[in-house]
Amino acid sequence: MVQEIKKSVCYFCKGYCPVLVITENGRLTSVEDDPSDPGLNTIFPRTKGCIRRRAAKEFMYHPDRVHFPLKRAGERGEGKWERISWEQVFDEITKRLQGIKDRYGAEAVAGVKGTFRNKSFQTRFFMLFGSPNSTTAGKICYGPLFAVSNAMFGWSGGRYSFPGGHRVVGGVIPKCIFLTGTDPLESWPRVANIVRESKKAGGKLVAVDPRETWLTKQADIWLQLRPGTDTALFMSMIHVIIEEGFCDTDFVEKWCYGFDKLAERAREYPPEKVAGITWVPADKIREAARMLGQKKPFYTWNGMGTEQLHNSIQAIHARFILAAITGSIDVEGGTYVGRPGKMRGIDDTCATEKLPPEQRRKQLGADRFRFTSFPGYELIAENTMRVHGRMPPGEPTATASPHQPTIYRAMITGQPYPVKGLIVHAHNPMVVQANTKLVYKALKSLDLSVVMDYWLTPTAELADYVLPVASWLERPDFMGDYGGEQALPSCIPGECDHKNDFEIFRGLGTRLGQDWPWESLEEVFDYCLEPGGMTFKQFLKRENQGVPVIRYKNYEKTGFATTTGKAELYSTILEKLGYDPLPQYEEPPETPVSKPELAEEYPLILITGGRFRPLFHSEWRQIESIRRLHPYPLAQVHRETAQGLGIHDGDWIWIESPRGRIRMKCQHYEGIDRRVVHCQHGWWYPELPGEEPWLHGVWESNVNVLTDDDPDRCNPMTGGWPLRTALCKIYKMKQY
Amino acid sequence: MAQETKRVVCEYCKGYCRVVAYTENSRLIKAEEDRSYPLVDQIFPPTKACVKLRAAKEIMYHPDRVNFPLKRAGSKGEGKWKQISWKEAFGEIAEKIRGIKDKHGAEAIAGTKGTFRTRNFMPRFFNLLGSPNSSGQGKICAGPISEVGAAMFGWPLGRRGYMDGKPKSVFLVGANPAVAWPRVWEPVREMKKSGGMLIVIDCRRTETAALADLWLQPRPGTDIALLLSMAQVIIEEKLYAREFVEKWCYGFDKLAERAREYPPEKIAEITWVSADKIREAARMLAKHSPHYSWNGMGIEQQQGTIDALQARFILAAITGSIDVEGGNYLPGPGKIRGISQIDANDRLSPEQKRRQLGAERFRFTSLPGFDLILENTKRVWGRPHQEQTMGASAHQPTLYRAMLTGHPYPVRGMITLAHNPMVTQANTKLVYKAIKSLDLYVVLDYWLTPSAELADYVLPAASGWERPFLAGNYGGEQAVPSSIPGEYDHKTDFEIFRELGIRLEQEKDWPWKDLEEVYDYWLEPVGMSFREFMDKGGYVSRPAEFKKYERMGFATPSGKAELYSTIFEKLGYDPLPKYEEAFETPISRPDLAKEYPLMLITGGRFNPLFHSEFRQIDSLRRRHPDPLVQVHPETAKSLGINDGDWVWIESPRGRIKMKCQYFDGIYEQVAHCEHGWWFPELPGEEPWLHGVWESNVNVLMDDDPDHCNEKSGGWPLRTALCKIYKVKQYSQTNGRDDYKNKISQTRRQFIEPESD
Repeated sequence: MVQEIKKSVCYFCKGYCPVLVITENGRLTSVEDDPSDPGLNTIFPRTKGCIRRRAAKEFMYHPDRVHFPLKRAGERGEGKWERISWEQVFDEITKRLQGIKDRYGAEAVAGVKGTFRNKSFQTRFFMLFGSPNSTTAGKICYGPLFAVSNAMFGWSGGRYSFPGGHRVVGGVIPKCIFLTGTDPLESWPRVANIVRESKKAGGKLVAVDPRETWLTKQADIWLQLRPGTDTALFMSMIHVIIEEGFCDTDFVEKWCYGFDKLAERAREYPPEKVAGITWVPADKIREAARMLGQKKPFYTWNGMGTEQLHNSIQAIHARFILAAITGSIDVEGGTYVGRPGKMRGIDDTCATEKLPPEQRRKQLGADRFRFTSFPGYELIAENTMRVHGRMPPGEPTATASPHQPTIYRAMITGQPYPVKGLIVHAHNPMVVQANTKLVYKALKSLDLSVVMDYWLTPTAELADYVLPVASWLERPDFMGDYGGEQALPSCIPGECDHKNDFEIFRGLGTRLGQDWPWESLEEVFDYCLEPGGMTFKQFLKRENQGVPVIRYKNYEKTGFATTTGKAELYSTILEKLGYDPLPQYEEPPETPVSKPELAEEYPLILITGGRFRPLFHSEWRQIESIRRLHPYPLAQVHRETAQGLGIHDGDWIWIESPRGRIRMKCQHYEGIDRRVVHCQHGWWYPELPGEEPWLHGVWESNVNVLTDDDPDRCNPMTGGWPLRTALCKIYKMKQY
Repeated sequence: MAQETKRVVCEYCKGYCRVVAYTENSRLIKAEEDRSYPLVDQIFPPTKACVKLRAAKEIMYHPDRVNFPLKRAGSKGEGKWKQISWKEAFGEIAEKIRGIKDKHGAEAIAGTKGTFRTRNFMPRFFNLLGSPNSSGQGKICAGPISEVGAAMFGWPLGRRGYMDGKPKSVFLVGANPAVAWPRVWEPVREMKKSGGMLIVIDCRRTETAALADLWLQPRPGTDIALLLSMAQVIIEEKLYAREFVEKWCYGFDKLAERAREYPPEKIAEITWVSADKIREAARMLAKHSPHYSWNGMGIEQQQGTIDALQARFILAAITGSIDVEGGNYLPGPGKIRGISQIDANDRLSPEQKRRQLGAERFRFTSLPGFDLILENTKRVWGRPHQEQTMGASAHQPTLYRAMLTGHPYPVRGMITLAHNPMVTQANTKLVYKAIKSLDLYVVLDYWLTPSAELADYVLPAASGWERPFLAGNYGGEQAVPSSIPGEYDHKTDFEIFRELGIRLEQEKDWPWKDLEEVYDYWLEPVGMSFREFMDKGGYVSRPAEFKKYERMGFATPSGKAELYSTIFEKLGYDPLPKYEEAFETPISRPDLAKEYPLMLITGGRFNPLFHSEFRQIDSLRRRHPDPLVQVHPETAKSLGINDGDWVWIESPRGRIKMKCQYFDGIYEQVAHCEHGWWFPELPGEEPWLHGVWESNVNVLMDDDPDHCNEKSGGWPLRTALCKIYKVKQYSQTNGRDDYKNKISQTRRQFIEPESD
């Protein structure tokens, strides 16, 4: 019996914990936390207590996992599959991709990708293929945060913007924290730890959330706002800070651009007026602004609650303005902006520059949503190249990406041009993309649909090819400042034959004559590490991995990498793109205020996307040990609202929006406003049949049946679709 | 307050009981048994015990009932409707029909009809329109029994004929009158009381089989072999009625020769019924003849249906049980006219008749066979024997395929009359695609059924309470108005087809203004108006006349009872019955049986539901809330399935879920699924379609023309292969369990290992 212990990086959530993988004869025995990891105690809840980690073996060897490449054997969606070899996969798919390219142009092939389950080589493939239409969920998931930070500050710390860098090893505990639309206990273990440490050390916490969560319970001030009104709230706080003299005058004068215009704009948001918009009392708005003003510098971060608003860019812009005018940017205890590191990242293998300008101009949705597509990206890149000699941080598939709702519409209508092929990469648009009914029609209309996944998801069930992907356990990993070995073989003859996304895209790319100079992921990592004079193997042997070098106030050396060299409160990039350069609150498209007549039929405000353990997005529903802990979808409704409708705690109810209806179990919850309903996201039922019309129960409880993705209702700058405001009604499900 | 009582015919099942409706200010208050109806005591269970009748008010005024004409307001199946006026509905539908007819020909408009919920004016409209493609459920429901009877004896055998005499035995094949035929069940009970024998063939121990003196439990689909083997015993042992056979039967020798191929020992292997039992049954039947025999859907819906019926009738004929007291009565036509005389069959041109879909292949219960029989019945009886959608309908599986493929020609429009093909037609997935592909789909119904949800127009049908009734020799009045302004506006199918017809140049051909005028016309030969008829009790008895053949011969080409059918012969079929293994059994498809080891049967009736009806009626649904699949306890246990578990039933065509009911009155190799299930309480819009994909057994059944009965085109609902397995459930969907504990348990598991 050969027992081995490998260091690896767990991808089961956004914690990316370093872990030890224990194997026996090449088979997984268990996954443990890594006591030698210097960041072990920077994660809360601790890796040790993680239920998902404990389910690793169940995940790895689950009988439903896709272990070999599959080709559709019946009609699309009929649930009939034939096992084929990788050789056949590569030959057939490349032939069909080339066929579409020859007939319709490269832009007729699109790519969509989910939250990280792989490294991201999709971008390189598409850039070299010549299609501008490769994207991620980035428009609604940190694409906005990256893009706004890049535009305002010329760089973005991203994950590293957590105080003291990625982890708090020897770092600074912030004295004050301002978090909006996030509940880190459920979603960001590293941020949750910071909150805990800060609170223990007597720090202050201001939390913005329409629902009561673990975080709001820790908060000194909880602002329970009306969903979708964050921009108004933040602008009002800015107003108070300016009016009451809490600005960091030095920083503002020396390093901020457009303060006067900001002050003028902020005057439109007096707390008394904003209280009417946000449901947050004026006193509380003042109190929160004063706390931030008095305790500055403060650390700030936002979750999806803010990213997925109709007003996302404006809200994040306003949040960063709050940080900037209080001098909370790039200082100890503040939000780290950072600068490019020495090493390269996967972003540096994307070959964005290889996509010809005429193809860039064809990017779907980029003419309308210019900020996080090529037009905005290129403007930002001019600055970062000039100052840092590097392309902007953040994956181009998030910050220079086409607009998914526009892509799906092009598939259906052929306008502005046909989209005939799609590569889906660890993504489940039938569940996690808004407006499922439209997505369904689009996917059904394709000539070629390739899905790379672990499971036959509802999306995979509609594919022509399903390719089994290697998980983090079966590939090496490099996270920039730490990494891991490959713990398990990705191929065991007769048992499984997985490939990682690098191998798959390289396999397709090389057959299409593309340039893929590296033969394996290790070689890619060697390339990334080259500037540090290290190979990946050497890097892995290094002690004290994952302690990044933090250098504050980098702007004093180089200036901000923006057009003006300053932190742009007034964004010249937004201005150049034809947008309002300052945040301005707009009522979301579907609220009782903007649509009073619709609200007569659908009187409640629907929000969704609040994270809940132990599930993660649309994953884990087939893992027994996990699912048993959370067997069904929950809709949180205030007890009084529910009782008024004759709905008991635990009753199944219908939730109906103008777009459709789904059923969930009603949870009486007093931590939500009486006028608001929160539905969990990501629900499908792997235990239901895969063939149509079942599609693993994708129509049963999938909240995206209810959400909208109409481009007219998307954020005008990014095209992000509004997942956090819709109107709905609820009623009891009739059961005999 | 105006109170009234009316005598009405109830249409909630096949009993057609006469009832008294009590109304107040034109609203139905309640309905009760009509003691003035002479045959009231020949119904069991008695009308007064009927739970459906008690629900009449709930059904009539149900909030989900379609009360006004609806026009689709969104895309097909989106569940969005707009209320329109009848005038708009007729005008628009007629225009669209005209458009399709002009572009593709009249045959591009099809019609389907369910079991009677309306009168049947569809064939008249279609024949006048020029389309041969109206169809009913006749191919799998009483069409075979009617047409085989007519082919062999020149008239369909009567349903109630034996009541004119006391049979010595009753022989039931694939029928469970204790549940499905209250008018058959009471006489059976009478017969038993007076010492007669009850012989039952059924693959399940039904309520009826449980009371039989002899119950033969064949393997599903092997009835022909069993019946022919009984014939073989009767012939071999010379137990047959020699005089009748010699004088009045045609083709006995050829039959005897055929029967020799079915010795009990060999047939025992095919049917799983022991040779001894086959002999015992044959001897019992011969000894206790004349006997009355009857069959239910159990054999009408087999792949071998026509041959099975022929074999059953052969047994009746050779035992001398035809048109004699205590046997199977051949009623012949009554004096009163009926729908078959106004179906305008003769108005459809021969070239259009030839275009009837499926008629080329399935010639017997379509226009070619129908017209051959008509020649005889008209010659001898002076009247058609049957209405066209029962005896000569287009082949639905071929219709749906034509919609999808455009072959042999396009079918672009369909009118569905009180029918729910998405639930009751085999191969739901194909039906769904076909209906979705139509340019025009009009549904006439009480409810937004899964089929109606796919329509362009849904027309609210008047129910039995809202129109007068006349069939054969009895009738009923209209109890309540069919239209109350602002409340509802229903119409009968007569009114609808008449209005459409008038807009499509059929004005002269609809001389009757309302149903009562139609009934006046029907009653003309007996010199009464409908009002007078109802005033005299609404019922006339017809004295039985036995052995009419002695006076006029049989209305067949040979003038005899044709054991050997010259009509089959003329149509190019085997004139004698012959057993063939069904298309999908462990014997015909051993390869498939490896994956699907169980034999699936469906369609056994269960009260208080009726076909796909009554799922939205609370008082009825509460008595039978879930769809059931009967599985032998040994089989279920070996699969880890408990009584009451939800299970998947999967056939090569799809899968559905039902609740497993342990039932030891079924073979271990057989599973029986209830039919007709949809869930009105689930959303109507796609993809829900009121849960039509959840538990609808027709998702599992086949309708491939290659697997249909070669003579009639009837699709095989009683043999398919399947497997069953438990539904994986993480929690019960009903009941409020401890989800909060689970959440806090999750929280604890995540956070507790941390020691602060």
